[in-house]
Amino acid sequence: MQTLFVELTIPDTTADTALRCLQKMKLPIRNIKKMDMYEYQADKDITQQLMNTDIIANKHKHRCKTTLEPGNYIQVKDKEQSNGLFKTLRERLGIEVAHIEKSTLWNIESDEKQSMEQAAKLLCNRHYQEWKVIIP
Amino acid sequence: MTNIAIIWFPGTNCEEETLRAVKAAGMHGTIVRWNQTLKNFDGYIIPGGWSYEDRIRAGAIAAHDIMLEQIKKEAALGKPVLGICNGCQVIAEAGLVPHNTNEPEIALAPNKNPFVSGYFCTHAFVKIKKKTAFTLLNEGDIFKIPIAHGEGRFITADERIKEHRTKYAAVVYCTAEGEEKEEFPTNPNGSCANIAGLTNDKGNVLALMPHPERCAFDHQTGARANNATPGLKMFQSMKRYIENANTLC
Repeated sequence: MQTLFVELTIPDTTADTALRCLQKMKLPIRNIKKMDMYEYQADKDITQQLMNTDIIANKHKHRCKTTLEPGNYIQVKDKEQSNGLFKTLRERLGIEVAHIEKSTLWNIESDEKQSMEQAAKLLCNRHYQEWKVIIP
Repeated sequence: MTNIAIIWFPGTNCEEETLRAVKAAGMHGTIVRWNQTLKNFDGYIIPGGWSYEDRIRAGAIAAHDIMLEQIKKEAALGKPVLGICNGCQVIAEAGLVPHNTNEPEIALAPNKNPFVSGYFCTHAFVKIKKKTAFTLLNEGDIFKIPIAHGEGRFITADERIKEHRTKYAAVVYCTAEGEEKEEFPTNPNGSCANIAGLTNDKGNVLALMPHPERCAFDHQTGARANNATPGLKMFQSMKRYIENANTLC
């Protein structure tokens, strides 16, 4: 399984709104950052190909990376993944990806571990999504 | 005169047409901004749009707004609360249906459609399954109503809610003949039990994905029954419910 993380280089209004909302919920969170996370399988390394598609990242406003800095992360993923991205990559762009899943990764800055669980209540709707903590 | 608050969050964009439908039903309506205080209203409507730009998830941020705390208290008193499209998502995320809880008991997940990925816009047939403050039409009434959403699939992970889902299904997708086929295009988004509108025990809260305000006038729809368009009848139902001291009749 290969992994690609895509983050905005311009201000992330969704992360800002999430932070304000979590702080309104009285959670001791200093900051929150958001990334798109792509987990994929292919016979060869297709990372550069994916980065070059303007579907996954636009070089004028996104930064791509394959590793995470130290921190506390919550990954939120839809339980049922749409095959729209998979079909577009294979059929329209000719990228030989065997499987791909998209999720959202939230980097949460907080001194209290309980905050992660509380934050997940806002960041994930358990009825169609699932979440887990990632500590690189 | 019956006074309805039409809640306007940043990103709501159906407030004006909702207000027109409220007035056409013979009620007074006021568009209330999310940061204003609610005072002396008989009922509440959260219209469609993209509240808070659908950040995190459709309806997630608005559901945590202080405005929703006030609306939840009013709903507990039996006052009518209607969420349309994005308002439906807000109500679901706030835990207002089917019970008034602190955490969502259901979700409006991304549509599941064999042909179109994401946003889907069409007219769908629906059937009234349960009497609520907004559906004092006859149970079994079938009508066509516009839908326009990307996340309209009612879904729950709670076994208890799954078991009773038909109990709270007030409006369901169906064929023109009323058959509740659980496949596309009858069910346009993959919603469980064909649910288009979910209510609570009292029937005073309705989370409705289709847009009644878009089929409230003759120029919007050719359909009429008992001298009213189906959309207008939903707003007239709200008026009647309030005039009956917040009881279903």
